[in-house]
Amino acid sequence: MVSGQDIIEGAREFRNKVNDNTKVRKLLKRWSPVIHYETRDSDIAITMDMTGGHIAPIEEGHAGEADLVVIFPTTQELSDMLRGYLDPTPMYLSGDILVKGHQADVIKLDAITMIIWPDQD
Amino acid sequence: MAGLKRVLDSRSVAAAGAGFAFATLSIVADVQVAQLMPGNTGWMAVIVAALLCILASSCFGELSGMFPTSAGVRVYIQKAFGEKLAIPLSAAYIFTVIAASGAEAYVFGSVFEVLIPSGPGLWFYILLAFTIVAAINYFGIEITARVQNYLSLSMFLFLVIASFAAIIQFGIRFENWYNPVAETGSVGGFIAAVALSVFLFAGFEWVTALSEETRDQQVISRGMLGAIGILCTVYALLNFALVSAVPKEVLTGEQVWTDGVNYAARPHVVFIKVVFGAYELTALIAVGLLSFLASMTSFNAGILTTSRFLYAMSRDKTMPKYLSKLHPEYFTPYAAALTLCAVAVTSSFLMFALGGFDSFTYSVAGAEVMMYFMAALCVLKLRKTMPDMVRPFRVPGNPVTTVTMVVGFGLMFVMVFMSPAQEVKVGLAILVAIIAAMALHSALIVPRLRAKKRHQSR
Repeated sequence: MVSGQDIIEGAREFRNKVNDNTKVRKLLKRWSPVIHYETRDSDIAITMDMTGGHIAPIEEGHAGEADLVVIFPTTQELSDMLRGYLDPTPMYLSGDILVKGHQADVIKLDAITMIIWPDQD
Repeated sequence: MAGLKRVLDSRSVAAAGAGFAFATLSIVADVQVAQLMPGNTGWMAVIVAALLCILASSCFGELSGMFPTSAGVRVYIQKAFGEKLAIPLSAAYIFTVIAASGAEAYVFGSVFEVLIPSGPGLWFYILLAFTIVAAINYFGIEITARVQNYLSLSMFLFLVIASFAAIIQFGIRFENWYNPVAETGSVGGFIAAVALSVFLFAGFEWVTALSEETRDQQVISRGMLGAIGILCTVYALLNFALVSAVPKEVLTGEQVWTDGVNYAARPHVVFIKVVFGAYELTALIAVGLLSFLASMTSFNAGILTTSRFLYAMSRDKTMPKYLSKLHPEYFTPYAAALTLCAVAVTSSFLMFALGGFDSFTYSVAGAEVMMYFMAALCVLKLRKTMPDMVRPFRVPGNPVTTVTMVVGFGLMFVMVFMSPAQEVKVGLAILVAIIAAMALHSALIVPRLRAKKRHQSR
C-alpha cells in the first residue's frame, strides 16, 4: 500500500523533474495554476503551486482554491504517474482519471508529461 | 473535493449548448421540416423533437454524472461496449459534424453573396469564415462564458422578435396549423419531420464536455434542459413564422422570389426582407450580423471541442501522431484544429462542385439520433455492469423509459432516411461513408499506431 509519504516523495521527484527542465520552464512561464491531486481510495491529497513554469515546494493536503483538481483511482496509480511509470493519458481518456478545471489547462498539464517523459509518447 | 477557482453555472452551460446548435444551416433545416409537414404544422414536429431530446438528455445526464469527462460519448460507449465500438462511432460523429461545418460555411457564404451582390463570390466568404475560426483556435482566443451568454441571448431575441413580427403582420397562412396528419392521413411524414427536427438541437449534448468545468453535475443536466428549451422556443416559433410570411416554394428554392433571387440556401434573408420591408436595410444588416455570429459561434464551438477531442485521441494513439502537436507558445492543439478546418473546407468544396448542401442536415440528424440511441443503450448496459457506481442523476422510470428510448431512437434513425428524395439518400451515403471510414481506421490503422508505442509497464 502506498503511503502519504510515498506520494509526497513522488511529487518531489516530479517537481524536480519539471523544475530542472528548461523547456517546461520556458513554455509554461505564463501559466500559474494551483493543482490539487487526490485519490479515490484514500484521503491523501497534495497541492502543486506552479508559477512561471516553476513548481513551488509540494504541500500536503489542499491549499487554496484550485485551477485544476486531478483525481486518481488509487494512490498506487498517482504514485506511478508522479514517478513516470504510468502514462496518464489513456486513463484520462477512459474516464478513470477525473480532472476538474478548464480544458485548456488540462492540455497544458498533459503537455508537461509529454515533455518530461518523452518515452511515453 | 476542494474548491475550484473557476466554475460554470447552469445559465452558461445552457448558453453554450444553445450556441453549439445556433447555426445558419439550422434555419434551412427548419424550412425542410416545414416542407415535410402539411400547412402550418411544422412547429409540432419541432416540439415533439424537443421532448425526445429531453428524454435523451436524461441519458446524457446520467452518463456524464458517472463519467464527468470532456471525452464524453467516447468514454460512455467504451465503458459499456468497449473501445472497438467507441473509437469508430465517436470519431464518425466528430467528422460528420465537421463535414457539416462545410455546409454551414456554404450557407454562410450564400447569405453574404446575396446581401452584398456586388461583393466577392461565395468562396471568399467560406475561406474568410474558416480563416477566422482557424486563427481563433490557433492563437487560443477564448470566447468567455459571459460573451457566449450575450451571443446566445442576442440570437434568441432577434429570432423571436422577427418571428412575432411576422406572425402579427401576416397571421396564419394556412388554415391547418394543428393537425400534422391532415393531408396524408399517415404518421410517416410526421415522424420523418420529427426525426429531421433533431438537427435543430444537434450539439446540445456537447455540453457534457464541460462536466470538468462544473462543481455540481446537476448543472450539466439543467444546462441541457435550458439549451433544449431555448432552441425549441426559437425554432418552433420561427417555423410557424417562416411559413406564414413566405410561400414554402420560395423558402425551399423551388421558386424564385419576386426579386428574381433563389433563396434556397438562405431562406431567412427573404423572410427578413418580407417582414421588415420598410426597414429592409437595417434588418438585412442585422441578419448579416446574425448569420455571422451564428456561424462563427457554431464553427468555433465545433472546431474547439472536436480539436481537443482529436488531440486526445492522438495522444491515446488512436489518431496519427502529428495531431497531438501543441503550439509552443499558445498551447493550442493547432495541428488538430487546422486539420479539421481543412476537412471542413474540403467538404465545402465538394458541396460547391457537386451540390447537396441540404443533405448534411440529414447526415447530422442521423448521427445525432444514433448517439441518442447509443446513450440509451449505454445507460441500460451500465446499470447492469456497474450497478453500484455513484450516479448524481438517474434516468427516471428505468428500464421502461430507457428501453422505450432505445426502440424509439432506433426507429427514428430509420425514419430520418425513409424519404426517397435525392438529398436524403446523399445524406445517408455521407453518414455511412464516414462511419465505414472510421471503422476501417479503427480496424486497420489504430493497431499499427498502437504497435509503435513503447510498452508502458512498471
